[in-house]
Amino acid sequence: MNEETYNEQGISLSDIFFLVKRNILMILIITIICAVAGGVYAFSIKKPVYTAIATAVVQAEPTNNGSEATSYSYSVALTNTFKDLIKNITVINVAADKLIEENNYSEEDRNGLKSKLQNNVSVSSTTSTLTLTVSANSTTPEEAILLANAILKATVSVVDKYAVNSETGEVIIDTNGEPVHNYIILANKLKVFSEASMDTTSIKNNKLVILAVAIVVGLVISFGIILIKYLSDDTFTSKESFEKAYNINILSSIHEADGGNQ
Amino acid sequence: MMSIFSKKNKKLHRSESIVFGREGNEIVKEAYNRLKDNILYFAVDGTKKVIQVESSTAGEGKTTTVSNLGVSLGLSGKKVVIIDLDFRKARTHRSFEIENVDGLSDYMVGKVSKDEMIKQTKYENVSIINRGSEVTNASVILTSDKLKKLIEELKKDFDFILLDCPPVLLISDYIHISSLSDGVLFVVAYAQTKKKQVSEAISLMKNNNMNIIGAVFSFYDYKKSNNYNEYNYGYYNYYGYGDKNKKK
Repeated sequence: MNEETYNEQGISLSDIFFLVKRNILMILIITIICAVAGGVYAFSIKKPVYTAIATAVVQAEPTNNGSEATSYSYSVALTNTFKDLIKNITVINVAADKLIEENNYSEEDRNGLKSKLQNNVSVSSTTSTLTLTVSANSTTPEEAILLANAILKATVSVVDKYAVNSETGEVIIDTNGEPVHNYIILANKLKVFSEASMDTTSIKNNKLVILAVAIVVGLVISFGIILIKYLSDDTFTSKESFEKAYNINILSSIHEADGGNQ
Repeated sequence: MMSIFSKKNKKLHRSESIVFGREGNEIVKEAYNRLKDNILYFAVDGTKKVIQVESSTAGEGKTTTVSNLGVSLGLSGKKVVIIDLDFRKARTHRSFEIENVDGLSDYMVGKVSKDEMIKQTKYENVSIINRGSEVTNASVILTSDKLKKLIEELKKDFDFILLDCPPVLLISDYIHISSLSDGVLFVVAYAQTKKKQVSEAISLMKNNNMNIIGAVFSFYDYKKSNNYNEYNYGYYNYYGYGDKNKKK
């Protein structure tokens, strides 16, 4: 190796250990600061998140003249349709109305409730079952339960709604004397299986995860600073690197010394 | 803690840059003795006597190194003369508390004799030739036959001739001086001199076929170093030298 290639040398494992040893105080300080900040956030600032779960069943009937595959596709499509409808704005509006009417919410809370129903509620299903799981998150278990139940019941009420004559405002009756549903193919297909309750509500305990992430972030920042310092250091700090670069021996390293009198 | 090399320590009396002859600084003394042993090994056949001390830039500790190396060699029984060839920034006389009069430049113009020019220092076996009067054209002196003849004569009288030179990257005198020397001792300010500067200086010297016998890290700080010298520091602390320094 000659003097032209001094900057092509990489960082060795021993260099890394040395850099860590040399900067251990900085690593500890930054990591402790991040850990304390993460701990304060996790244990004091961040509120716990409660998740309430309500379950619904899709009552898809096998088609009479279709194959088994057609029946399966139909039930999957029906399940997915309900899944989409649960987060629909019409359902959310109905759910908000119900929450205001039946609970201690006021009109002023409407927008906040709609926002919570839109953002804090999620719906999941699997392709092998005909169940829909509605999960609602909130900082209180009571509210989480209310949100999950309200949106599920609102969905059922919307899809089961009867068709109304727009002029008279009366429910339309068919030839058999039965009321006609607004959404014929969806009506009576979605049933609440289990409402959300305290038994189905869990608390998301991620304080330790936040603390661990804060520690990792602290370590990453420390090592980032060390690496930047190392890479931006354009001087010789090791005998070996000088000797390798120029094939010239370091005959002695003159330590720093005290001044003083003769 | 004040460093003998420290740039913040300009007010420190120059005589204090020589660690020998006063208490403390055992680690530093040992480092100079190690350098001295390497120089003795280099000159083991007795034919290599003239050592040119160079650095890339100014303020890397050449004068301190050459002064302490000279004293260390003198303490080993070798007769040493240190010549200040940095005509623009003569400093060597300050290390030995000698006035910068009747020096090399005065000898070259015939103002003083050789014996008047060579001054014995208070350190055993160590003499010095200071610069003397200011010089406008150093290369005339450095390329003169009179200087070559002087060096040849000094070789007979002394075991080692140490040349304190100007920095390679600032002044091209090193080319002329190299024709007088047997080898170059290259001083690098540890964790201060840029790699690019070191590289350029070494390239310039190698391009002029100069014989670089080795290098010295000045301003060395074991805390910044990842090599065996850390062990040495612990060794000296173990034997109490480190503590002595702290007490100072």
